[in-house]
Amino acid sequence: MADSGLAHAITESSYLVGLLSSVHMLGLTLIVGSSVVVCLRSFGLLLPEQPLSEVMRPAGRAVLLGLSISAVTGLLLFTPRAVSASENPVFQTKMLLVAAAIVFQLTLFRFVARGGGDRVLWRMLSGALGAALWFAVGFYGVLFTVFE
Amino acid sequence: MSLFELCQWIEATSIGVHVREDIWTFPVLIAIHMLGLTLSVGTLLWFDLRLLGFGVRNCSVSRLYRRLMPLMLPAFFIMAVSGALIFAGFATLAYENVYFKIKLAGLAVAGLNAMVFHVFTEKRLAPWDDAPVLPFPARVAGFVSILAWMTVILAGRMISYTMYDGGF
Repeated sequence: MADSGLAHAITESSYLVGLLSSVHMLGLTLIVGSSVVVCLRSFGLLLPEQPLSEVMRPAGRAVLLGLSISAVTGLLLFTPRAVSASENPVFQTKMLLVAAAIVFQLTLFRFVARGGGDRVLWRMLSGALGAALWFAVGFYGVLFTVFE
Repeated sequence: MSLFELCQWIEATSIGVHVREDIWTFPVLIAIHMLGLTLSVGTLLWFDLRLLGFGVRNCSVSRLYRRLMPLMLPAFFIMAVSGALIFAGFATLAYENVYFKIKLAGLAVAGLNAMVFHVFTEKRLAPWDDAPVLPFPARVAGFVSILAWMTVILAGRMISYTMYDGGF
């Protein structure tokens, strides 16, 4: 992967790396902002007059859009440093968190957004877990960027 | 004193030297700045999308603004303070960097847009506060805000990759 033409093209241009990293950050912004809004709504701290499903629906779409953007740009950024990144414990932790966050988004988040788990506990658990997971993904991503 | 000389003076302050020379300060500041940005702009996007007619369309514009503001303001404050501290460490390099200038321009447009919205558009908010689709000036404000903050993020990341050869 690291020896491919695409990897070399990315390595040779710091502008291209910068652009990819910028768009990657845009995707993360969309995800973290939406997760925090859902989390605070789940606890009744934000928009308590809005039904939870009305907040979760657009948030779910925003997270999916952000995730798609981050996944494509992240893969392109990963290509030239596939070997070093895959051996880096910070990157490994980030990827584990991304996997956990995706599983969460496809299971518990979807379950609560569709009106399942009427109990307040389910909603709070879902909101807190989503924000914590995505914020941790962002944190490890930033950590990887600055300490790589 | 020219702007460049001012940057040299800022860089020579004890804060500037500490940010540049301490092994932990700079990475920690960058981490705080980036996470503050995802939180502040990420929540601001909800308001901008509402202005454009997306997201929580059943929530009135004024209520959404009132609810989001206590969340956005501290995050913007954290981002601004960490950004100013990072700047203190690398003021002259930033001064000469084209992406830093683009970032400042993006911040100025975002600020001006918010000011125009609050001074003019918001005053005539009552008739359309609850409407799912808002009048043209409100939609323009939402669009300009998204565009300005996207520019800030894009230029901000580009600074890291162009300030020195090989990034920060």
